[in-house]
Amino acid sequence: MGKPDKTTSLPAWSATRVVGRPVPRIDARQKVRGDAVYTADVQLPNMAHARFLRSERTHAKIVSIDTAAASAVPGVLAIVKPDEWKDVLLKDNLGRGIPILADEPKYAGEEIVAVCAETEDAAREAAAKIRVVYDDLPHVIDPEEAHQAGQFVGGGWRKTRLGEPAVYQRGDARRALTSGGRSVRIFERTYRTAPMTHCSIEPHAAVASFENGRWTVWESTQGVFAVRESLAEMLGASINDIRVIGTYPGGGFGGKVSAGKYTFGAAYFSKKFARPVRFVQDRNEEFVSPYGRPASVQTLKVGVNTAGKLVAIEQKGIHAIGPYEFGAEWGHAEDLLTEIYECPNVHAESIAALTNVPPPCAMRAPGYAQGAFALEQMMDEIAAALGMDPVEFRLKNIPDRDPDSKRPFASPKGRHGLRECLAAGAKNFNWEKRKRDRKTHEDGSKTGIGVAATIWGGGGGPPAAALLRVHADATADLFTGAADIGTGIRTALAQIAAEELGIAVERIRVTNADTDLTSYTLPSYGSLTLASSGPAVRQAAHDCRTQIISLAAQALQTTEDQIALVDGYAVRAATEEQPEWITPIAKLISQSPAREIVGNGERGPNPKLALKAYGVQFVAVTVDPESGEVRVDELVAVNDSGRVINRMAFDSQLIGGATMGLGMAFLEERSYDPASGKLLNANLADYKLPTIFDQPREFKLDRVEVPYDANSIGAKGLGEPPVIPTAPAVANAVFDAVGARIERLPISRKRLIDSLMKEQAKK
Amino acid sequence: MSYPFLLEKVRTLQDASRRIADSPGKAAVIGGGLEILDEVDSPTAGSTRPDILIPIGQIPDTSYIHSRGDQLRLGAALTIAEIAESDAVRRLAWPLSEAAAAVGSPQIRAQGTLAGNLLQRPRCWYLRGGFSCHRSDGSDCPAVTGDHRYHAIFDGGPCWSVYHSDLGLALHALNAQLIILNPDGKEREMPVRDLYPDPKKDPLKFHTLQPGEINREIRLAGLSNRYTGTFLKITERGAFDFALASVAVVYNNFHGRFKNIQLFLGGVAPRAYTPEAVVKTLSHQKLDRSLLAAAASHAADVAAPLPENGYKMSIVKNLVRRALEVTYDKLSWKPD
Repeated sequence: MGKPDKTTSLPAWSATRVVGRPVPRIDARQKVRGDAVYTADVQLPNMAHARFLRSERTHAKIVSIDTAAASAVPGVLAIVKPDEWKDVLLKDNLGRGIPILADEPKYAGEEIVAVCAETEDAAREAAAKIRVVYDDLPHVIDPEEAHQAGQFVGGGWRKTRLGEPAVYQRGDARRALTSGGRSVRIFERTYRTAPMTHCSIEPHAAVASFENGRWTVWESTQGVFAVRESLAEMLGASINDIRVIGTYPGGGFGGKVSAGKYTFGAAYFSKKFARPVRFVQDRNEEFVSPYGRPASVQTLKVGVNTAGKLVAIEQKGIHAIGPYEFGAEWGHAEDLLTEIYECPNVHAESIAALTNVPPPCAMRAPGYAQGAFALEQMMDEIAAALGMDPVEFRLKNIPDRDPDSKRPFASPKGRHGLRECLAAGAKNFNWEKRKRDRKTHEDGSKTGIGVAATIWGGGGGPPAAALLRVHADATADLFTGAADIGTGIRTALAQIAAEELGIAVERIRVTNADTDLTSYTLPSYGSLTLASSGPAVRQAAHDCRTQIISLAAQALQTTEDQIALVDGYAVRAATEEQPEWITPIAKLISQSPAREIVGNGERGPNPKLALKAYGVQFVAVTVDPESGEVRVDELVAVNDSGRVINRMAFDSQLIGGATMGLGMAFLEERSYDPASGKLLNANLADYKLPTIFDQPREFKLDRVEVPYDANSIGAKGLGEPPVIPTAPAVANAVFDAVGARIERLPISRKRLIDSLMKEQAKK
Repeated sequence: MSYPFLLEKVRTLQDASRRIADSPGKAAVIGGGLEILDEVDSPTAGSTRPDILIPIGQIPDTSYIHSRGDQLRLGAALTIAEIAESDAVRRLAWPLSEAAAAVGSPQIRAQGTLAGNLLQRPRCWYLRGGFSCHRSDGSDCPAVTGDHRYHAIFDGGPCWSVYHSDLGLALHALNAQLIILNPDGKEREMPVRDLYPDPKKDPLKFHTLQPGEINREIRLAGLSNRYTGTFLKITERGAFDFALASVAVVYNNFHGRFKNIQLFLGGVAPRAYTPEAVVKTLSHQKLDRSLLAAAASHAADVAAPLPENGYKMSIVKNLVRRALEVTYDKLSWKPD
């Protein structure tokens, strides 16, 4: 099926009717009314329930597991100890496995026993009655301590041996920093970011049913095909033994990219007992499962010349990636500094420190969000030291081509998304005026302003495919593998199909994220979904369009270039010789031989260009130096994600991303008790997510649509970019207000007051 | 989503009282359920969780607001939202009204009750996280060497947990009385200040009620127009949060002087805490706004913080100054 590699050959849309408009989500009503069925909502007849017993100790050898009392709980079906599943491994992106159940738990909360029972209460009660005898072993929570002890591997996408960091290098940073003499000024600082949890509103969840030798699995996931592959491997089953359905995941943020331990548990028990099994984590478990953003300690050393050009960047990042090498790919934060600004000499070491905390996974802008907190504050610090405006300093260092790959950018010559975002942001924020406008209020609070920038890939790519069937009444069914993790991708894809077909968005039904009904597509991660699946859908719709126009041309005995599809009609405009001619698309299809028009689309490869999305945020804050309170008065966000498909969803992404960024900036932190290694705030009261009162008093959102022709819809990703610049922009604004550099996240009342005390002590 | 327990309905408060007295440690009252269900799910180390919960929401005459003259009587099963929305409370006891509005989120205020808010276990993530500690079994407080950023800076040790009931703090400043029903059907009256035992003397108890005793009503004398008062709290986030520090203050203008200063801090000591130096500095002084900042600067004079929570001293001084200035500006008569 499909006609590969045609997606970029379609001409760019000149004028659009549906694309670019603010379109409410096609599933908004179902979601608001509670009609959308999420995995945790799935109820099947005769369904059993499973849960894990988790380690109470941070690192221990299990001496014994006594299940006698647990087995006696009425309704208990099975209790599985580590031995029984010892050959089953959950694997990370680089194929490193961890056991489903640990016989030597290495972090508090690690899964050690699985229980299946008639009811959720019985499973819970049985788990509570299992008696485990532990023999405690030493533990390390602090990544710097693990690093010093040599307990680390390289972080990122290349495996290294124990004790060897992953190194990124171009030019010779050390020489540039030591031999520059007085013409190179050097700045150095260490920044720390906190370990975080995704806190999706729907926890990790799977419901599995085994019938006729085949599993059907409902999973709260970003990628049904990734779940299917991972689960097939864990079960030793064929890929076509498994169907995965994930229409409505309740959030993901990088934490639901593939199958989980619970997915295996549900599938295993459903086969064993030949009945559906529900395996849903509770909120507390969400904080101690192998998910989250790892803690980072980043030391930056940056050299800049008298002309205000970056000369060299040295970075050493230490990241707490859990006790296994599993997940070490998320233990790095160097990408942003290797590609955002022109800098000939870069040396970055990524150290994935082996620590007794849950292994991490991707979390919205993995690495970039941590890296930006360091680099974008450093840019601010350098600009101030050079007596330069921080916007101007950034503009001065914008590269002509991708500094890493040396490829040209996929944008017209002379145009650069970041340059245009900075210019638009400064204008929307009224930066020049506000720079001169800071004040101290009567109550002692002070105002400040700050800016930070970001870069992100977001170019998307194959594999992604779509199938579109247009029916005899001019309604259509669109089939796409893409998961909608809250971005509104189902709506955006329906808009793209509607644009090509000349029918209304409401006439297109979207079936997505079902391995039996849709074609193979990458998970919705890395802000790639729109730029991957969008061109595939356009191709499929264009395929249908061509067929409909051909029918119209035949009916009228004219050429195809005379026909347009508008509002459900095929139209030939009036000319001097002929009057206007118009006929319903429905009529054309109902009278066609096939009585249905089918189109296929497959995402082709990208051109060999640098595919980058950009964004900036400007913030104004009011800081009370006594109480440590910071109020964000205004947040201006400008992003370049190429062509905006849905203006409403664009705005929502910016608001959602910046709000999550404010959580990272001010509130979110997993707090570990140093002595026991246990998490102290594994709940939503003590792990503080931002509320509506923590949002800025005013959001001002804007886009620059730098033309982008690396794919046929002209769009780049937007999911991750808006979360990246928030924390450094806020930190820069706080510095502007009170003169204390914030070296550690989150900027809690305590950290701000402590930082001010430290500043005072220095003076 | 919880451990199984028995929900047992009773007809009167006294039936509830008797049932609890008859099954010590096994039965408890459930109001809004926010605290008791937390406790059932994650019990304090070494404690037995109740198996029988007795809902009192449906019992008649437990949720009322009666005002007669300047007397205010509040049924203990009132929701926090009902208190926040009450005109009588706003008119006669506005610091309580402000405290109620500052609790949690609209959902929590709709669910939580007055008595439940008063009887929350102390705020400490070790105590509530099931760690063995001074309040659970008399062992050493793990917060001292652990993460104590939210812990006490006054009166700390051997327990460093903090008192954090917003309603309770306001009721301290309003000098409220509790009406307590016992299993014999008799009632006793007790100041809200005596509801909380001194953890230095009685570490294993979280309140001074006897088994089976039920807090039935809260009584207080309303504030006349010579009085001023407020409740303020500083939190980490904009809503749905406990206080890093809170303050409730009430005083009156007695012939042009500061008089009857009731000043209590929450979130900074195991019990509601009065910074005496501030009270002493202002008491009987002529009303004068310029005295307030200087007085507030003494709010943390006797603080003895742990290594990582000294920042609360800065917060407390700021909060007390704010509270004094807000209340001063609200005085119906002032010289300046």
